[in-house]
Amino acid sequence: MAYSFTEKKRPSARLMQHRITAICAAVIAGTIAVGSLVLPDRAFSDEENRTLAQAPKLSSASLQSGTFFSDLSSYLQDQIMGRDIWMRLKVAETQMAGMHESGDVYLGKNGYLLEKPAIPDQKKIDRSIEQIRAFKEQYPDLNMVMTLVPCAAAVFPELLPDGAPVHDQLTDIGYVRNKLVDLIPFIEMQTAFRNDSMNQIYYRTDHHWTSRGALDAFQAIRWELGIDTAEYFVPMTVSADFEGTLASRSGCHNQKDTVEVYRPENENYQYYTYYPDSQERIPSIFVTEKLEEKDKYQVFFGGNHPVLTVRTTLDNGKSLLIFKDSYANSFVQFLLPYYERIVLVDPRYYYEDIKTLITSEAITDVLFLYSMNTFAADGSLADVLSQATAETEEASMAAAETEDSSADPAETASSSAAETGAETSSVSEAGTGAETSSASPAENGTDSADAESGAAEESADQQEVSAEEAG
Amino acid sequence: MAFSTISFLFAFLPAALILYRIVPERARAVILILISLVFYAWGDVRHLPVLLFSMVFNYVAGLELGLLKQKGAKRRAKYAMMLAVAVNLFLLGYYKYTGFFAGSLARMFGRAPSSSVMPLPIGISFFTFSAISYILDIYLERARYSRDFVQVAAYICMFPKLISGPIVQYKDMKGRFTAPKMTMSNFLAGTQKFVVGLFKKVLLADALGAAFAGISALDGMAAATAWLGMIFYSLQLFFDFAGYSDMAIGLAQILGFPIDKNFDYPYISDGIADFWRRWHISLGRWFRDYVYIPLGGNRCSTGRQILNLLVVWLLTGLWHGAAWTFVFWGIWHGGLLILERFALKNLRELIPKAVRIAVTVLLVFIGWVFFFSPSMGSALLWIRQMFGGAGLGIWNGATGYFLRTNLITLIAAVICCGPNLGRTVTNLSYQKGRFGVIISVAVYIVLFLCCISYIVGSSYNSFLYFQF
Repeated sequence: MAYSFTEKKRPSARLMQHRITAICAAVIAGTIAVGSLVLPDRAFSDEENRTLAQAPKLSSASLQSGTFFSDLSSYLQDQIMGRDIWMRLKVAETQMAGMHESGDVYLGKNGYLLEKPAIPDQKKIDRSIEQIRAFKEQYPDLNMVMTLVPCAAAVFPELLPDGAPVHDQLTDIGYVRNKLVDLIPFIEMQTAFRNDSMNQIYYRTDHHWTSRGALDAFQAIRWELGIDTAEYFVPMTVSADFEGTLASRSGCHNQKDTVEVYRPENENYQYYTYYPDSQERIPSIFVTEKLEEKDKYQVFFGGNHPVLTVRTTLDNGKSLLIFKDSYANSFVQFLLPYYERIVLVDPRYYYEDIKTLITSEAITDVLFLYSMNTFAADGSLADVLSQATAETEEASMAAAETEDSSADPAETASSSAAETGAETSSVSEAGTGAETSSASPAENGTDSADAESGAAEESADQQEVSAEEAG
Repeated sequence: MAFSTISFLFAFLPAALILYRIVPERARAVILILISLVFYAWGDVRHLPVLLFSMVFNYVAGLELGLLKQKGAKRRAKYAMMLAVAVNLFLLGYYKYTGFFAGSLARMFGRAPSSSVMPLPIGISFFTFSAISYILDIYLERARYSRDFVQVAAYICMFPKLISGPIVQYKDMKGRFTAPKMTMSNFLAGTQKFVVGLFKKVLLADALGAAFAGISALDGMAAATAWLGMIFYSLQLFFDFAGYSDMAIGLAQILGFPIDKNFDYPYISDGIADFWRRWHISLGRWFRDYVYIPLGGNRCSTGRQILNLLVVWLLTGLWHGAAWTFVFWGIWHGGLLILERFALKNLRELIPKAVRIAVTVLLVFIGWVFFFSPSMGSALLWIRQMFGGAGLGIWNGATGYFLRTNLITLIAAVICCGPNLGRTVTNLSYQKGRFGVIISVAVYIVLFLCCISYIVGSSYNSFLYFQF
């Protein structure tokens, strides 16, 4: 009897196990499916710092090309019920399984998240170097300085998980230095950073350097910029709950960073920042509204812009042009006491003429300030510089010839643009009359025309086209 | 569309199952074709015409071939068969091998091969082999042709096995599409298999794959790192493919079509022949039934047998991919099989089983180095680094990092290579009464939840506006 009893019992236990498993799985899947369908779609993910995909529109074209299905997949992915919770669960599981990476970000020691150093694109690097050299040869009188900022993993490898393999970025930086240092002073940062390692040089949750890191860089670089009187800068905490890009990328949200800004102890000058994209003048380099947003690093200038100009009430004839990525945004706070003018050009978004800018802003100094990760992968600096160095004579001749034809669109441009143009030229006359006196009258003419059209983009485009036609 | 995606799990599959369930049994084959076409279009809509062509062409070719067979026109039937197979192979060859042969020819004449790559229709290797099976089963009189288009079309395109196998043969599937039944026991067992497959794919294979990718990206590997990389890849490949097969088999079972298992613990094989009885079983069967046996199989002279084996393994290698590394990999397995069967037959018996397993696994793993390497040169470089060719010693920091951070995954993977874990779970649910059932259910549910978190998590990417 006992035998037949177990015979009977065995399949039913198995069936029960199957049944409960299948029903639970189906209920879970069904709940997620229905929940995702019913819950309202989200437009933006704070944790991922991006807009989420929305329901795709069905059309015969999108159906045939397959974009409908790929958009549908992105939509379903982005709007899945409990997306952020699942992600947190995944990160927790990853860590429990002993892994130290998430989303290509190393989960390092002391709560640091570290991005992996970029593998450089050798061609782009060599081209950038070549163009920087050509630029210096074309403007031998400008005082040029360069630095490339290594990422946190390169400077503080001890923060990495033990043995984690990283590309040797300091060697890459050394390579660039060796190719340029005979022509342009090139400052390496790792020693300065390591000497100050009791302070936080990089954010724990973001790929940028902290203001403290930027201050160290400033101290290391200022001699080459001809700054020998050091102001005393006072830090001020503006946010204590910054979760940066690396937190978003890894999905690791158990740390918060503090954002500091610095001001000189004796602020015996006034200044404003001019934003050409919105044509606003703001008497600060800080955009405090950004502290309410997710990416608090944008407190510096509100993020990246193609070009920005800072003007101070100083009258020392020094005008600095910075070719930069976002690392420079937090660097400028230390430059304010030393320059009459600071122009920030982000070559990734900049499509205007550098030559014109150099004359119209009476540039005396140039700083190349990039993170190595950007420099290793980005070709836009070389593009912008190559425009400046290519066929200067002919280009300016052509521009001079087309001055008449471009006059019409320049006049029809908005009045505010014309105002800016006037403003630019008047300041440059007053500030650096001696400087521009060496330029020929013909060049002077082109300058003011360009300065005007620089403010009004359409006319600049027109001029470019007509210059091409003439050439 | 892969099974381990949000789109499939939480949109396509529930909708497809509900639709399939509510229609009458007689209409299910038609519904199966429709949802399979949507499934294919979701992944690769531009090549949908290729699939449609294959379905229609093979139906017509099967009809003609069957009628010729009925009339007893042997010669014409043979020609019809050859033409049909040729068209199928041309379809496969056109998409898969044009670049390879053109490139090899160009190199032979000292020219640089053109770099244009033709996108491969998803699953073409699999559905073409299914279609050829239909033609050859009729020709070899293992099955009768079908007058019903729906039967043939559903066999070729049913979505569980459409893009990644198992390569089911027509003779095993014939007649099953007339009125497929969905039963509770099939649903329960199928769901369980699906969850296990999902676990293998998402939690094991993808994690091992990430580790392997990390090792491949190194500038140079210490000897132990290269070994570790080879092991990671070998395990990844197995769990990826076996997991996918499990999911396909589970889905097919839910729909009412039980399919044989495709993997049977291949990494505990004690010989290469044994390995191929356990690895991608459906492919081995296909080559045996449609190439090896028609060529004469075992019933011919030793020389002819060796030639047959080489042909089969050359084709097996090429089927996996159009590159010399795959050709070498096929020959590697073919050569080892020939050696095992003809030269080492008596020696094998003298070696203890554990050693036989270890040697087999080692030979198979070395074969995978050629499988994953983009070129013969890089494969040889990898093997050289396994013996310290990079000059980084036997062990360095990176070795420790990859071993330490993946240790749990590695141990879990190695345990899952053998049958013991599965047996334990099964025994638990059989014998220990209610408590055992609860434990085993809890294991499955936790695994399922982990899978979902990984699937959602891997779609997580922050948009780095103004990144640097």
